[in-house]
This record gives sequence, C-alpha cells and structure tokens, in this order.
Amino acid sequence: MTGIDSLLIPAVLFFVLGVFAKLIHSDLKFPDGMTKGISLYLLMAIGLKGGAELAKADLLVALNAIFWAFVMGFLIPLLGYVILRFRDRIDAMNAAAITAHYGSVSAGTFLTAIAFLDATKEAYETYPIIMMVIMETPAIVVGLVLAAMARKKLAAAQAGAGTDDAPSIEWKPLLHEALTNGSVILLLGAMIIGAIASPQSMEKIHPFIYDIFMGVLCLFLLDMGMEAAKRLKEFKRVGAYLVAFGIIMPLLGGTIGVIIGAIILDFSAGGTLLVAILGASASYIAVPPAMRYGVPEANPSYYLTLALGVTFPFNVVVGIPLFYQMAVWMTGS
Amino acid sequence: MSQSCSEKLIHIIVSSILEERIEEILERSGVDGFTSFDVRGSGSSGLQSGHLEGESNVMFMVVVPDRIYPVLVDNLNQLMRRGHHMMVFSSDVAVITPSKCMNDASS
Repeated sequence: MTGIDSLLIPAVLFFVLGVFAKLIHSDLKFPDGMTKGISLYLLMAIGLKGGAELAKADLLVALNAIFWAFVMGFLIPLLGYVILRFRDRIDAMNAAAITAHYGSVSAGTFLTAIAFLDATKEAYETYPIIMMVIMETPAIVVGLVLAAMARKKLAAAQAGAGTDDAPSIEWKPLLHEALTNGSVILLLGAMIIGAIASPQSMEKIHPFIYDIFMGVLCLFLLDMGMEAAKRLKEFKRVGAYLVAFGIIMPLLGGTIGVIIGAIILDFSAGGTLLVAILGASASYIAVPPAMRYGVPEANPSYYLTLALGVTFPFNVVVGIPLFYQMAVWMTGS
Repeated sequence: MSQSCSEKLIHIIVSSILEERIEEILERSGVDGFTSFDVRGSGSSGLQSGHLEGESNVMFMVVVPDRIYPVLVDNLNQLMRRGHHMMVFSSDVAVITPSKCMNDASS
C-alpha cells in the first residue's frame, strides 16, 4: 500500500473530515471534556496492549530499545534547539519550550501509524510502545534545563544592567511535573498492569482494548482534525520560519528514527516506522502543560500551533507513508 | 432599605495548569472563598479551546475586602513576574449578602 492508498484508512480519513468540517465552518463540535476523556482511554488501551505484549518480550532487546529511547529523547530536542537558535531566529525561551515538544511523542500520531500498519497487515514489534513511555520525560527535562540556562544568562545580563530581580528556579515542582505527568503515569501504569495481569483476566477486557480501539481513535482524530484546522489562522502569528521548522524537524527526527529502528535495533519495517514516528512527532498532550508551568515566558501559541497545526497533520498525511517507504528500503523488506 | 458593603471583585484568567497555585495564593493572602470555572478564549497565548490540558484556561472570581486587596495583588504580581501569562482585573462591587461583608464599614 503506497501513495494515496495509504491515506485511505478510516483514522486518517476522519482526521481529514475534521479539517474539512472546520474549513467550511460546520457546527460539528465535541462536548466539553470529551477529547480529554478519549485521550485517557487511548493511553490506557495502548499501555495495556503494550504491557501484555512486553510480558512475552526479550529483556535484552527491551533494554536496548529503552536505551535508544533515552538517546532520542535527549538528542532530538538538542538538535531542534540548535536549529531554532540559528542566527538568533527564535529567542531562547521559546526555542527551549518548542524543542521539548519535538523530543517527546504524539500518542495520536503513533496510534495512527499503528492503524496504518494494521491496515497494511504489516507486523511490528511492540518495543516502540515502551520507548514512547520513556520518551515522554527526557525532552521535558531538556526543555526545562535549556530554559533555566537561558534564564540564568538573561539574569546575568540584567544584573550587569543594574536590575537584579531574576526569579529563582523551582526545580522540585518542575521535575515533579515532568516525572508524574498524567499521561506518563497512565501509560506506565497501564503497561505494568498489562504485563502482570493474568492472560485469562486480560481476555475479559479484550473488547475494551482491542475491538473498539480503532473506532475510538477515529473519533479522536476527527476532533484533532478540527483542532488542527482551528490553528491555521495562527500561522501568521507564528511566522514562516517556525512553520518551516514544523515540517523540517519531523523529517530530521523521522530519519534519525528510521536509522535507529532499522540499523541499530534491527526491527522490521513496521517496528522501524513506529521508531521513526517516535522521532518525528511532537507532543501536544503531555508537554504543553509542562512547558506552560516550567517555561512560562514562552508563548503557548507557538508550540501548540506547531505541534498540533503543522507537525501533526504533516506526519499523518505525509510522514507516515514516507517513513514507511524509508523503513521498507532500509530494512530491505 | 437593604444594607450592602463595598468590596473589590477580582477576576483572574489563567492556564488551568496554575489552578492549584492560584488557590494557594488566595489562601496565603487571606481569602476565605472563591468561585472558579473553565473558560475558553483567545489572546496573546493563542487559542485556548479547552480541549487539551495545555490549552485550557480557568477563571477565578474573588470578592475581597480592602485590607486583603493589596496583599493579593502583590502575591499575584509575584507569579506574573515569573513570566506566567495571566489576565487579572478588578472592579468595585456592592456585596449584598450580610454575612459576606468583610469590610469594617458597611453602607
């Protein structure tokens, strides 16, 4: 399945429907709180699925995958920061907050890639699910550290100019936020439950985590399509440089993911695509709250527009089929 | 004629991430009650549709007597100096509920 065929899966089509509905000013709307509820369900289901599969997994391969998830989680935001700060294009605070989103993962994009693989009947390793859990946190820490360094530099400059009222950094609540983030706790917790629960008891919740999963994902993507379309008018505020970054960064991150998945971890084309999506996607659920709290100086409209309005649609429509082709080529399958 | 007293009504619109932080500030400032609700809107922080955690705002409504007002404003300013995006505004109101009149003088 290549080209336009790869886009003809319900999840992607519902995303396109959401965008279309907003563009024609339809009154289609989700009730308050529904999206938050759906995202909780999706994180819980993917955690349970991953945990059940990991219970049967090879420990050494899992540890290797975890190590490379950490490497990607630290490397990608640093790469993004260097690009954003090139010739002082973007100020340090906004650069730190934006790049943290790219080091973390969009669960919505990851699940769309799984829907794509299911539709193509392509098998995939489940290790990328644990990699996704691991990658939620390092990028937040990198973003907070980069912002703290920039804040220190700014305070030193202000002290030199005679003003010395730079706020001290409250590391404890920031790290608490990064490590106890709701989506991290839910994903990790569901994964542990999925791994230790008996197969017989897991069978009882099979319809909840398998049968209805893709349908709920369609609902989620319908709403995300509408949310992405709402961000289109924010492009002007964000500027051409950042919009370009929102496309270049997933291409770089995805390529890094393909190399790590295919060559270092020796995954199949399906598993490699999932690692590529870990590298290419930008979080819009876990990281924005952490950055709003930890890097308040940054403008939320920048990172939310980029993650949700540029990178997410790009990955759903272009990234997934593109990285799949790269994965097939690299793995020789 | 029913009695009322003059107090300050403060509105605070802030990211829901800071909800607990604002509650702490209110308590520290001596405020003994508040009303809060989820709100949507758009401004310098971009669209706040309330669909995801990172783009949800909450609005606090607090009625305070004159003696608490400067303390609360000062504490809120400390948070704003850290860079947090907040919209805070106040107005004079007449409180009609007798038990809620905290100012010494009532009219």
